Amino acid sequence: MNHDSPSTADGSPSYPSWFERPENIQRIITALVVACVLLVVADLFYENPHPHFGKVETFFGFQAWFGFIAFVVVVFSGTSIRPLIKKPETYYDPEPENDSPRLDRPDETPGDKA
Amino acid sequence: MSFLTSLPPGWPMIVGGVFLWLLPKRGQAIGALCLAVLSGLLFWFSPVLGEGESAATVSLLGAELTPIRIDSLSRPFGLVFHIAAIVSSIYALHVRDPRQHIAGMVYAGAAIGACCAGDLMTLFVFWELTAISSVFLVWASDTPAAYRAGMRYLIIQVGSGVLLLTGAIIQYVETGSLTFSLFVREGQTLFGADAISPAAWCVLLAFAIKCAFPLLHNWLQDSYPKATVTGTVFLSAFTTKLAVYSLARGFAGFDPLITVGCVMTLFPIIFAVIENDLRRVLAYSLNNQLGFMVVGVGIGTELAINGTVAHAFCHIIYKSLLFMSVGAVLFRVGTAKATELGGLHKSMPWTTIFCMIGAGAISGFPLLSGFVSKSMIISAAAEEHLFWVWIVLLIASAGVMEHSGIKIPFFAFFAHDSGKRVKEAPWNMLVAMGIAAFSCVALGIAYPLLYRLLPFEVDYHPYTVTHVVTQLQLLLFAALAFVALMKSGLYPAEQRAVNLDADWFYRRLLPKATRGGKVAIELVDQTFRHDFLLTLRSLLRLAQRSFSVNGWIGQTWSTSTMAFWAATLLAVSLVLYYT
Repeated sequence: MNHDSPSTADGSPSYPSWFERPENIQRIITALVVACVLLVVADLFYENPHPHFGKVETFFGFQAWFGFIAFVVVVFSGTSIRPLIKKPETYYDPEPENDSPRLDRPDETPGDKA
Repeated sequence: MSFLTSLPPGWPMIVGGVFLWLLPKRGQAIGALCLAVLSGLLFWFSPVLGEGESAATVSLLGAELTPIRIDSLSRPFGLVFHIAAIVSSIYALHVRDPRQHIAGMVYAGAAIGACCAGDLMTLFVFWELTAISSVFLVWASDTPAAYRAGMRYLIIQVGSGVLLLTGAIIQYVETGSLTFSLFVREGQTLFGADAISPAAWCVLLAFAIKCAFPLLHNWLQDSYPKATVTGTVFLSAFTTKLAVYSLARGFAGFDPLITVGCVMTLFPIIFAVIENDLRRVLAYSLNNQLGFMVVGVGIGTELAINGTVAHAFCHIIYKSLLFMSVGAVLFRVGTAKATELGGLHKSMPWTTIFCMIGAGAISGFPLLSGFVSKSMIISAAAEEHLFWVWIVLLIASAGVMEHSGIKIPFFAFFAHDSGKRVKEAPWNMLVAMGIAAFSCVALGIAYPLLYRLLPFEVDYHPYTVTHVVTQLQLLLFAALAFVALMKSGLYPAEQRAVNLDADWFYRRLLPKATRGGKVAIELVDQTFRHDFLLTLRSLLRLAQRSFSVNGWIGQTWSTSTMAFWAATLLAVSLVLYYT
């Protein structure tokens, strides 16, 4: 009856799914790059009818490079404050193992039979 | 019918919720769902106030109260609160814990009652009821950590209610009215000559706490991840959006809120990047989304208020969806920590799909709900030519893509395989997530349905070429940045850790400081007590020695000495008498 608890893939070999095969990951990335290029190229074919911040908003591919830079800045700000605020898990609570909430798993969860 | 509609909205949930324990354990969850549906139907058919109409008032102890005010601003909130209550009840159908069902129902009912309150006293009563009922959802986790977090939550929430009451009393004394209406005039500031009144200050602070303004925000990240799997879904929907509604009602167009909102959109995303507990990541993300709404309230134009209401509406649904999917993972795996998850898309495919729809909706992908609501707020900032606000909101949008759009689904369901093989979530969770996911798509496509609910006439079209292309540029290039950082190994690895935030001040510094104070007081107290006791003891010893058989007072004196002293005493009294 221990089917709910996490079990490592003992016995049954860990099979790679479609998303885990390197060639498929490469395909996803290629698709993303192609989509990005197309989106920037699309900038050439339409005109913003109501630019509110003329020079900035109509700059070629503005939101594209802005999104890229903003993302990197956000991640780097996170990593840069990490050393300052990182504490061991026992910092507030001496026993973080008891930290997980009650899971309300009844003996027979509806749908478990399915 | 008129009697039923004269009761505050949400009453079936509050009244019925209290009696849920009478039902057998198996029936309580279904009972809760029925109550939510019943209340929703009643609310749908309740009369709505038109422009310029005023709600019926009740006189109580000389004060005019307006218990029910369902108008174009409160109605969308009431509706989405009902949707959230129904979806959360379906999600909790497997729970056999009366505490959680009762708390969830009373909490949802109180939130609905509060957003339809026309006066500050009614608002205060429901405001406190949401605080007192919701804390049981945290305590229901039955861990010491949850108990302590619940205590902190309760103190902060009740404190917010007390501030609201204070504001209401000052307002009543100053103006003789308890009506809950706009507290600010145009151009008013926080300080200085044209500052808002003390009553407005108190009420604003009360709203600020519940809305998790910067530095007042930590009750949210502290308590929500410690609540039960189903409790967090309830929690995520009501308290903070009630505060957004209250701000929109009382402080629309109050300029300082724009700054506050901008800060609120930015700092949580930085914390979310390095947070390991995915439910805590979602709590930070919730904070960041509230920032968008606060900016909208601060701008205060018709478009901005419409955007705020629309965003709150969509947000409640997709945030519930995200909390539900991470909750389902926690339910099956037993942990929601990114370090211990990964590869779950193989064993929980439906949860993965629903989570990705929620992630897409919160990031604002076209055809999903976030796209049609968030953009209204950003456009409102642009139309007011608030350049820096616009820039901040764009950064925040890229940040949302980071923590909710990519981090949550990627680390829970993909990334490296954690080797965990679990079952798909129970059917009731899947149904609840399915309804929420469907709503996200429906609101994104059939957006006129949403726009029709908004307080002002809407003249806004989200699906313009410019908007779709620029939004996709922002999001996909953010995703590209993620790929680039991952490939180059610059993306921060998940680590098991506690990250300090503003709650450190009251969880660490304050107890330490008071402990220092306590030591000082003890020291002074001890010294004084010691000295006092020493003096007392020496006095006692002196008395004892003096009165003992051999002491100078206690010894037997000769008759002549006594006669001499008696004579002296007589002489003295004689002299005193005659002079």
